Amino acid sequence: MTDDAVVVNPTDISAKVLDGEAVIINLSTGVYFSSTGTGAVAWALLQAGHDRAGVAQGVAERFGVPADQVDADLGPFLADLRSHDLVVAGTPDGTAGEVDLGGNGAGYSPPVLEVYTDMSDLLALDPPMPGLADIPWRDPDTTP
Amino acid sequence: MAGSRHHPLTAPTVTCVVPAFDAGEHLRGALECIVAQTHPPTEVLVVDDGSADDTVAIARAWGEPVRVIEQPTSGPAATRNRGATEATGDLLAFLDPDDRWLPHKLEVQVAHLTAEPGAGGCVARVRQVWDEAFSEEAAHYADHARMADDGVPGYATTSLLVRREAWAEVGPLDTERWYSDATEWFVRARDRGVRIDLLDDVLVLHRLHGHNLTRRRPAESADEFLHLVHDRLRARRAGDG
Repeated sequence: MTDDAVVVNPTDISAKVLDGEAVIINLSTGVYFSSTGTGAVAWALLQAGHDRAGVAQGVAERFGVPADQVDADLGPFLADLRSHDLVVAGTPDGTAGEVDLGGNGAGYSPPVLEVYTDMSDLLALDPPMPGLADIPWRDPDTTP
Repeated sequence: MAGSRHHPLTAPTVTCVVPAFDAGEHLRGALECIVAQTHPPTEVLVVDDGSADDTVAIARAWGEPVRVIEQPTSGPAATRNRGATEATGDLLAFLDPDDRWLPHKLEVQVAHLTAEPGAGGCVARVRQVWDEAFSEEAAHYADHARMADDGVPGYATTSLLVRREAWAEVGPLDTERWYSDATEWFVRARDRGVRIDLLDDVLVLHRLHGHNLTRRRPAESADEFLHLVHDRLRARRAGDG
């Protein structure tokens, strides 16, 4: 495992790309994050299990820019993700899934992570901790 | 926000709303901890959301100060709203049947709101505890920040004590939300300048077990919170958050 091999934090975050924006909540701190454009694509690839090279390749193909340029720009972005515990050291298991990279219409720019602390107290208790097993629940519309 | 905007409280009365859905296993314990409060509520409204178990029978058998309200299954937010609508106390509290208040919970919060007329409500810190059957999960999350002995900020209805006038000012819980209804309410309170203070005391125990709402569908629940945050980001960009 190289020093910069990372995987998405498996226990402390909830995250999803919504309307071309990566929205991430750190459930340990209640801090939430946003990354749009290039950052959203990079996050989607990370979350699908791609390693750094795979992320750089995917972003390069999506935006039509050289992969080495993307890789250079990924360094500070990944460091930022790591500093907020959104990714942790680890090697992806090699089963990276397909990612829909189209549709947000943004041009290439180095990925940026935006950090928000205004709801950290409000998010301290209620969003579920990841890793909890699904437990069946009866919907109101199926109630006899 | 300016202080002294609420009516001063003199010997305030408290209504406790207990939203219940198939809560027979936990309801007696919840009612016991409510009536054992050092500042007991004058009114306890068990709002049954179409339970199929013995929830209603348990609540009916309890007698004063418990009153039972029944409705077809409508979801947790609608159930809490129904209780708030029927409440007559000066102050409004909620207790989910599977959570537990420490005995002085209401006393501490009533004293705070009496001393702080500028506060519309207050919440306390909440300590999360695993049921015995979940020893594996308890071990897995033992060092998680959320499991700290001194609790976490309890921005949840089960920790809230709010003036009825402040509840009305913020508006009811969003019934489209099944998991993030309380969080969205606290966001709305903040946006509308209704001050909800966080007390330093741990006054509530939140039990983690097989029937917690947020455990039933973790992916669905997480999704609701992510959309709430996304809405917040969009409002912020539009200059409205």
